[in-house]
Amino acid sequence: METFRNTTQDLLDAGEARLVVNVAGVRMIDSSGIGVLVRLLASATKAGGGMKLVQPSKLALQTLKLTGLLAIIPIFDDEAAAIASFN
Amino acid sequence: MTASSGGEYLHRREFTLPGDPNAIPPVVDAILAFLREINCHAEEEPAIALALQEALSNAVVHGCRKDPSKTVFCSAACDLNGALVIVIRDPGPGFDSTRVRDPLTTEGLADDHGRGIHLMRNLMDEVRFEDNGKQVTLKKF
Repeated sequence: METFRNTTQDLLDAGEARLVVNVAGVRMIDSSGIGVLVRLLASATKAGGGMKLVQPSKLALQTLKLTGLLAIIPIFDDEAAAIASFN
Repeated sequence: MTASSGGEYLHRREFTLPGDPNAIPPVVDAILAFLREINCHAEEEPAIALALQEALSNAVVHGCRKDPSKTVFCSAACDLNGALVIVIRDPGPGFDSTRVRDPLTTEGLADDHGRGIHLMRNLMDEVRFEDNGKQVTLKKF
């Protein structure tokens, strides 16, 4: 989690505000992970870009739905579609 | 991590972990393995895993202040009706569980924390806090 947070912050600091986060293979996203994604979405959006999530697991989708974020965080089946959505 | 069995339930096992976030995943895995072993709500493993992660994280982060010299106590049991009962106790000062902000409000959605208890309540059939929040019981009927 710390590595992810640092890496994404480095990207934002470098001016990269259009972020695609591929979570395929991530078994579950707990509330602290959700918090990181929320903060990332806010920072990227504020910087003129955004954050897209790719291939969340069934449990991750359920978690996003339970926390009211399914309608806020854009979800995609593959990276190409997520990247194309920025255009 | 230590484990033992026995007590008033059909099956029961106890676990302990230090106040270190890195100690949580092995305990979650051990509890899930125990549930598979006794065939207690094993089909609901993903939801139980997440609820456990949230409860243990609260105990370690807030109860122990991530101090590895402190200990969290946890027990998992299956009662005679087949209900799963997990009890987690931390040595912290406790908190008022009735004053947790709703994460689904506009302010809550924008917040980067405060969703753990909400998730626990929605993933388990019953969540009960006792002793000023120092002990939480999670149940699946």
